[in-house]
Amino acid sequence: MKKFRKFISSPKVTLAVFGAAAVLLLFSSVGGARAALTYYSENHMTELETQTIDVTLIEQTGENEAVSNPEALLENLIPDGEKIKVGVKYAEKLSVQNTGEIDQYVRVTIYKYWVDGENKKQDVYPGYIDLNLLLENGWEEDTAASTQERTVIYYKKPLGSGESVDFADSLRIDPAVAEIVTKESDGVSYDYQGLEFRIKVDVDAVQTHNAADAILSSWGREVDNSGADEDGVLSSLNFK
Amino acid sequence: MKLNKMILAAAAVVLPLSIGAGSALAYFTDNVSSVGGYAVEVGAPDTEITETFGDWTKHVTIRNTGEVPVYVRVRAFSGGLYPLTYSGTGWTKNGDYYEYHVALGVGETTSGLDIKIEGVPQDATDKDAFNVVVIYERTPAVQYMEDGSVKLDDEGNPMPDWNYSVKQESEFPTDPKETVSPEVPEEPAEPGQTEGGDES
Repeated sequence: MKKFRKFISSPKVTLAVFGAAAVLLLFSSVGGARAALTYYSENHMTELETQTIDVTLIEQTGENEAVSNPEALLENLIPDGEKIKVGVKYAEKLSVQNTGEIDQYVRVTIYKYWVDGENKKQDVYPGYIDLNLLLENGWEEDTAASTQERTVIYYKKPLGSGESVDFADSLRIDPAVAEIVTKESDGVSYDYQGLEFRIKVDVDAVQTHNAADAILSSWGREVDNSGADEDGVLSSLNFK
Repeated sequence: MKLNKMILAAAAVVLPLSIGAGSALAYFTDNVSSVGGYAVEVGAPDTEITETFGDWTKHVTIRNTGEVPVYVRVRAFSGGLYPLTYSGTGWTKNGDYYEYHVALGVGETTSGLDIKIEGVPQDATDKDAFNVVVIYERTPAVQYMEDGSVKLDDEGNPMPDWNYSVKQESEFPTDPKETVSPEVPEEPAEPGQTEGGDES
């Protein structure tokens, strides 16, 4: 024990311990410096150029200015304070525009339904909401996916960057809604009185390169790929 | 041993690369959506029919109890043995129906229309033999064309469109002294059909 105390208290040991402490202190600083360098190295700026895909829904009601991607459809269909007149055909022009940088295929899904307050009515007929579609403009209805409430249409050709195409031009509530009644103990009630009709439009766009794979992956539909060019672009969509 | 090392080295290269393979299979897509709508006011046309019976004659008046002006018309059916005759101011025969000559404003009542069974024997007791069915129809007085204009006849008056009418039906009472009031048939109307009204 005496030998150990003598060894510990010797100047050589004291110097050695002091040196070790200094070295450890230096290494801890080096570690921090390395961490700082690593942190900054991940924020080096790099300039990359990528092409974008972008699709826009355009609505023009009556003589009003066209609106891109309206927050709510049909907002200016009738003047404030007026009510929808059944049987009247209102101008409701709906278009799709390719506002991206690459060509795209476009699909539009239109939902028509009635609500009572916030509750969707299941026992009334969506067909009385007549949105006139312009299939003759190059659109094709997917009858397999369409129902009374939902209509699915595809634009058969690639829509080039900057191009637009109309898919609807008017809206009319069939006057038949005024004759649908339910007999009650004190007379009849009108089934559509006070109900609110709703139209919902979903627009989907997908790239034209590797068209068949892209459409199958994005929309779940198989297209005939026999006419594809070397980039896999189809000049016209034909579904299997 | 050397082969295993080579396999491990290759895996070390391929596996990190495969991490990016999933994102490479994604395609450029975009989506936009919007929804909107309005409430529909049908106008809730409604009528109330009052019928009294006496001297083998049914006396009919119709009152507009709805929210919009309406046109009304009446037609009756009977067996061939006992023809019916109609009389009343303001009622005009048009085809098989007798139409009231003007649109009935809210709260207004037509003048009376008398429908009489002719040729009834003095000692008539078999009341079922005199079963007569009366059909009433109403339709909104103001209806619109697709361009938003009101449907007008040749004289510029609003024109009723009986394709969008609601029918009501009653029968002559089995007891001629009885005064009848409308009741409701059991069958509900189907969408797309013109049906409805009362039966008595």
